[in-house]
Amino acid sequence: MTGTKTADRVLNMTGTTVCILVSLFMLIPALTVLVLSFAGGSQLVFPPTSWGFQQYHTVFSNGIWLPAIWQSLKVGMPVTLIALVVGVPAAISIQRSRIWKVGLLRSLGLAPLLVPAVAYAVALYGAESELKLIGTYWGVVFADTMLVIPFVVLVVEAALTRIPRDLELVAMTLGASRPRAMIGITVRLLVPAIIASFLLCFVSNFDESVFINFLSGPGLITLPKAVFNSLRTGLDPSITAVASMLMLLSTVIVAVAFTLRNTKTVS
Amino acid sequence: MIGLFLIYPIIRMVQLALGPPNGMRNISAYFEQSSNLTVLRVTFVDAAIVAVISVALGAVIAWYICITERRFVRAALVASIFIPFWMGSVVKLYAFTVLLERLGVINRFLLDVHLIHSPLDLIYNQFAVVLGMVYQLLPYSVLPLFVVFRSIDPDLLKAAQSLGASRFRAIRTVLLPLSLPGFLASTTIVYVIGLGFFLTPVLLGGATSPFAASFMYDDIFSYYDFTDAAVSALVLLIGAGLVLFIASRFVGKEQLRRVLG
Repeated sequence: MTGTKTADRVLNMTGTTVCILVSLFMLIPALTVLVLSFAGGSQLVFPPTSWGFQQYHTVFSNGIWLPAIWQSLKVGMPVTLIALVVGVPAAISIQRSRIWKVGLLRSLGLAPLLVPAVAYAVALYGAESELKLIGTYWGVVFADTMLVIPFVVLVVEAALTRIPRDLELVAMTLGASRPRAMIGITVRLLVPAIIASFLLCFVSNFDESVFINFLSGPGLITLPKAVFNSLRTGLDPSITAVASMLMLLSTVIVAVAFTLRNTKTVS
Repeated sequence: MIGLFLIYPIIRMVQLALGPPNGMRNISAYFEQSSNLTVLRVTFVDAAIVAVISVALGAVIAWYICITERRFVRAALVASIFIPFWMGSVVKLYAFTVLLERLGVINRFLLDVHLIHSPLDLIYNQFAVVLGMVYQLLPYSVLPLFVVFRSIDPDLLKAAQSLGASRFRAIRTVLLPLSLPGFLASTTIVYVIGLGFFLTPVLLGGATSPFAASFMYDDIFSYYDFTDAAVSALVLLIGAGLVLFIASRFVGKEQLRRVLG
């Protein structure tokens, strides 16, 4: 008996230790960035010798970060909207129709997640240079859209399984036309899921850094690309401020998205 | 739309990869070059190391999130895993650069407490790449494993223990077999995502840890050799496809899909 008890105690202790170590491992880089963002001076020193909001000030005053943030927003908006326009009907047809193509459609919808990002980027580079889309705004938008469609399909499909199909049938027996029943009942009940996937798409697109490197050319600089550029040329301390704001904002947005996703669609 | 931007590029890429100068021989030429083989080995091996570490650590975390009765512990674990997740991938790498540099935070600290006498080489090697990738992929393993663990009735474990099994034995004989498909599925997904990583090897890896990703990038943008890049991409794609195929044979498509959700 004592033998097994010791073993159990060792097991428990290892588990706890692993948890603590992993948490530290995950938090230390994030905290370092956060702490450094409040350091004064234009050199990156740890621990900081002076404190202040200088990094945040640089972000808003020098000409690199604001245009990059604006560019990211300009790409992110159409990407998310197109992804919704394509993804929501796709998810509905995957979930609601009984045709043989469903399996195929579902795999197609999820495929961009499973193709290794770089291989996909190379393929897109080839195709887009033929179509003369490299370095263009729409070239980036379409590529990024492909990457976020799976999120829409996954989130909306999951929500659909919780909406009984009968509700639509009830509406139709009460005289509603099929499109009306579809939009009035199903789509309306999907609204939380749609908003959630909108937010998830937007946040993950805001962070897209693989495609942009292959497809954007020199002129189109989104936020991740700007960070990447400045990383390659040297460590610019104002990145820490950008990162901290990004972290805060994304956490809030994602928290909202998850709350919406888990909202009971049918009471 | 998906047809145009997913299927078409890949078909074109295959065409280009197998097109001039040598047609099918492009592939065999690729495998004859030893540097390519090194790159492939590094990519597939590193991604595997990363997948195993991520899933092993992720499992422990997911399990504790699942069973802990203290809300504080759960909140702390969830926060520590998911707040960095949304920090932005380039920024995470930035943080690692700051920490791991020759005169970075870690080396300074170790020098100051006199644990070491000269700075350690922590960055621009395999170690840094694996560390950075685990950092980014851990959330991808915690989330699905948590879902798997939660679907297992905790009373089963209690039953095993009340029948005299040690906790270790209960975990080994009850929990592991029940969650094995989930383990395999999330390892596969993490592995495949890891294969496609581009920024981490470029920014943390340097020359000693050549990844397929950075090779392709250099092919296109430094040597303007798209065919070569297309061939590497094709090889990577086939590799990832094989892994997914084998995994779906073992654990079933549904399981793989569940992990994504």
